Formats: sequence, structure tokens, C-alpha cells
Amino acid sequence: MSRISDALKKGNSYLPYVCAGDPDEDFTLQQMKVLSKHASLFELGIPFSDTLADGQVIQAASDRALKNGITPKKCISIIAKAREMRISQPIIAMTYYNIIFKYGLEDFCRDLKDAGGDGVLAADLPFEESAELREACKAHNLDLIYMISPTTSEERMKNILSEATGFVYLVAVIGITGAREEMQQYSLELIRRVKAHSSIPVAIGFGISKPEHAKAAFEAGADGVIEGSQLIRIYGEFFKGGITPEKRAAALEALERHAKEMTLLK
Amino acid sequence: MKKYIGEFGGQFVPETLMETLMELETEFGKALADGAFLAELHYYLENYAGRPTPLYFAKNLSKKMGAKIYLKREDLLHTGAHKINNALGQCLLAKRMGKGRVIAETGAGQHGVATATAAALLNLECEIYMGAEDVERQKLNVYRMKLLGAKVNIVEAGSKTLKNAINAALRDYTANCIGTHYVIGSVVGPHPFPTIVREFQKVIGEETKEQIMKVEKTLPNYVVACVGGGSNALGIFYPFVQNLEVKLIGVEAAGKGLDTKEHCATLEKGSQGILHGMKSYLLQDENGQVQLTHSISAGLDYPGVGPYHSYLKDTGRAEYVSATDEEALEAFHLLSQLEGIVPALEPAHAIAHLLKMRLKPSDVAVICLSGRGDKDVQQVARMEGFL
Repeated sequence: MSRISDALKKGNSYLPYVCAGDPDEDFTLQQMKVLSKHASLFELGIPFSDTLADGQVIQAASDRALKNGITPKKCISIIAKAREMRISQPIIAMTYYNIIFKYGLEDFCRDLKDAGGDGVLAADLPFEESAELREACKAHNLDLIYMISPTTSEERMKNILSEATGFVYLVAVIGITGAREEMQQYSLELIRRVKAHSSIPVAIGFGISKPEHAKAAFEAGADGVIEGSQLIRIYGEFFKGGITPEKRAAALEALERHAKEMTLLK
Repeated sequence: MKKYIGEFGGQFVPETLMETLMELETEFGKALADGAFLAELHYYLENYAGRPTPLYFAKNLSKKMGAKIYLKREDLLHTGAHKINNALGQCLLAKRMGKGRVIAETGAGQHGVATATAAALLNLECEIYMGAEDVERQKLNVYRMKLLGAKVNIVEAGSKTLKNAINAALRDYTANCIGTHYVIGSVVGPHPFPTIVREFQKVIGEETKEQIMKVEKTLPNYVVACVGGGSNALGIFYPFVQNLEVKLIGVEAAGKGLDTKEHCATLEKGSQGILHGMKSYLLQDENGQVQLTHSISAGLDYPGVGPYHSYLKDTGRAEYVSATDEEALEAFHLLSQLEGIVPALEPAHAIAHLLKMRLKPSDVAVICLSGRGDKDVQQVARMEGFL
């Protein structure tokens, strides 16, 4: 069994998404450090210029990180540094397929594994196009994470589950990433539908931003909840009008407080 | 339907869109096999859009070039460009699929106007995404879209041009995939879009073939068209692909020059990559980040290209060259003065390449005049200090 499945099968897991390099690499690592008290797994976002599955918050974060010079290689080195800092949770690289394609599938998987990564997720790589990356992941003992959405048919869900390893990423909304006020009924139904067929843990993301969302997801059977845009919004509030060491510290404190709340209502 | 042509194409989209694309492929296949659908499309193309378009023997240009030059007059179509062929086809398809809302991206505004037009005709709700920089360049087209009842969403992200408008439209499509059809404007995007647009644009080449055979009793030596995403070019090339004696030449925008970073000559300077749901050639940096592009013509200002063109390039069946902003502007003036035809800045690139070609007196060349220049007159007049 993979480190990822192991980490999530305990249930009620919290999976923060961290946009690598926003606003800089130091902050990414500090953020991972404070969140690691509550996280079961990290999704490290490798910024791409054309984030078509993402809402405005992650788009803006990716653009800032790119402007500040982040590259896929630097993102992978962040994982190595996180391991040096004794952040032990599984880490998956979350990006768009062109980043991996241009890097070279083999090279990407090898470098990611060497740095201490555990899995890969490409937001624009559906099951039907994933055979090559799946092979490369297998060769380097990485999990390729698949998404299942409310629009996924029964037939395709079963096909996806037959190849999925690590965990299954449920897309809570018909749409793009970004915090939502309410958790939809159809999101909870999706959890029940996939959970009934899946032999590996399931975690749900897209729109998750409140402890109530996490609680509802866990009650419906989710093993984990994924949160990204809301975390970026939280530190973004502190960084308006310039970044100072004091603002960094305050932002990290707020992030930790929020992560704690997200995991309290177990 | 084939998902790939050679190694290009595919469906690189978020999972949420997959079932929608599969349904679209099925419904499109059924529509193509349905005589009533094709008859309705044909009716609108003929009576509403103005097909067939003339294949005009450009007497004065021919004299200048010392060869026989024909212009395929897509500029004479309703709304002023070839874009209406595809917009009518896809809006009819949307209607057939029971989708009450259409969205589209637009660069120069021509595809936005065409989609807004077809949506008005067919009673569909319509929203257009357009980059903020293009809104500036093509203000009149923005007003035309509004006049036609469409909502225009201005995209402020990134380079604020066509690439970002497509990102925004794809996000809308993902969120509203159940009731909305995305009328993509070029032979780009995830499968089956490149095939759909090609099928609706190939009428350009089919007519050309028939028309040239009638007057010249032979196929042309050259077919030349401008390439951004590549819909007018593929439309005119496609029926000639099997006729190996016909040289196919696609002209990309070299902007301020291929030795600068300000161009959008994807096939000449790009490398393989994945953008907007397709694997094709792409202008990108060594890390896979998509590059900013530039062209005087908003309609060619795109870092990707349709997968079929990548295939035609790699197999050597078509040749891809480029023309700079300056060369396109010269051609814009030249065609206006020689033939009394003001071309859009996009096909002005095709004319610009023609002017560089060495032709024999017996040579027959067809240029796809994909759109008229009315939309560009103001921009050029301003650049030249007239306004």
C-alpha cells in the first residue's frame, strides 16, 4: 500500500493545497511547516501560466509565483527542503500536464521521487489520456491521482477506480476551484457514490472553505477534505499593501488557526 | 471520430468536461448523418450568409505577380469573415442538442460577432469572452456584439488577448457544461472541436476546388492562407490535402520579427506542448509556461495552433511561413489600391507572403481572403497618425 493511502485511511484527513512560490519559496515552506500540525497530506501546486481548471484566487497566486521566478525544478526542490525540515506527510505535485510534458515524464517522476514526493496530479489530464504518465509514475513508485466529478458516468468511474492508486480526488462542484458558501447536496451524493466502489481513500476538494463543509464531507464518508483557495485568501489578506516579517508571522498564525478549525469538528 | 491526427490532438481537459465532450462527439456525428440538419445548415449558408462566395480572378494583382492569382472572397460573407460558416453550424448543433446558451471566445472580434449573429438568428442566449487588449483594438466589434444582443465579458487576466479569452470560456464551459455549448472559433481545443470546426469550414476549399476547375480546368499550384488557430487555412486546405500537386502554404504572424519575442509564429518557432485541451505546437519557454505573443492582427495573436496544422507541418504536406506586421501593413495597402479590396489584417499576412513568392506565368495561386478590413481601418488609420 502507498504512503498516501496509509496516511488517509485513518479518516477525517485534512489536505491543504499550497501554491509553490506564492509569494516566495520561504513562505511556502513556512506555510507547510505550520500546516503540518494538522495536515495528513500536502498538495504542492506547481504554477502554470494557463490554469484553466482554477478560479481567480489560484490563478492570481500562480501568476504572482511565476512573476517571482518559480520554476518546476524549484518546486521540486521545495519538496526536498520540506523533507529536510522534517515535514513527513505525503506530498503530491499538483499541476497541469504541459509542465510535466515539457519537463519530460520520466525525468519529472524521477526528480519528484528523489526529492521525496509521493504522487502526481495533473488537473487537465483525464483518465483516457493518462496511460503514459501512469507508466512513468509506476516506474518510480509514485501514485497518479485521478479525479472524479459529479458529471462522471458510472462506467467511467469504474474505469478510473480500476487504475487509481493513493486516493481518489472528488471534484465537489461542477466548475472550477474557489471557495463556496455552501456544500451542495450533489457533492455529498458524489462522496457516497464513489465511496461505495472505491478500495482506496477518497478526498473531496473544490469549494471547501469552512469547518462545516469538512464535517458534512466526513459524515458522508469522505476520508479527507482538500482546501486551497481559502488558504490563499487568508494569507492574501495580510499581504495587501506589502509584505513585512510581521505580516508573514501574522499570516502563518491565521493559517494555523484556520487549519485547526478545519480539523476540530471531526 | 479520430481523437488524434498523428500525435496531435487529444482531450486534455478537467474531468468535469469529459462526458460533455463525449456527448458532443456523438451528437455531432448524428448531425452530420442527418439530411435535415445539413439541409438547414445549407439553407442558412446560402440565403443568410451568402454562400457560395466568389473565386475572384485578381486581374491587377496577377499582372503585378506575373501569374494567375485568385482570391477566395470569404470577406464578402455576412458579418465580414469566414467565421460565420462555423458559427452557424455550431449554433444549429447547440440548438439540436437542446442547449439554450452559447459562449464563445474572440480575438479580433469576428468570431464573437459571428456567434452573436447566429445566436440572435437562432434565439440562443449568448456570452462572448474577449481579452481587454483586444477590446481596445477592436472597439467597434464589441459594440456590434452588444447590438446583436450578446453579453461581452472582458478578460483582464494574463496578456489580455485571445489565449486568456479561451481560458475564460473553458472555465465557463466547465461550470455550465450541462446547458451551455462552447462555440469554439478555430480548429483548436479538445477533441472533437478541431474536427467540428474543420467540417464546418471545409466548404471554403470544396467551393474553391469546383470554381477553379471550372475556369482553369486544373487544380491550383498554390493555396495560401493565414494561420492563427488556423480555421480559414484548414477550411481551404482540407479538400486539397489528397491532391499532392497542390502546394499548401500557411502564413503565420511574425509580428516584430522572428528574432524578437514579439511574434506568434507557432509552427516556425514553437515546440510540442499542451494548451487548451490539445497537444499541438506551442510557443512556450523551457519550463512549459506559455509565452506572450504579439501580432498587429488580433485574430492571429495566439501561442497555439490547430493540431491538424501541426500534423501537416510534420508530414511536410503543408509549408508554414510567416509575415511581419510591417509586411502585412504593406499588403493591406497594396490590395486596397490594386484591387479595390480592403483585406482584414489577418489575410493581409497571406497576401504579404504571396508578394514574396517567385511565380511562373503559368502558375495559378489561390489566396484565402478570410475577412474584410473594415474592422481594422480605424486601428491602421490611428497607427498612421490619420486619426
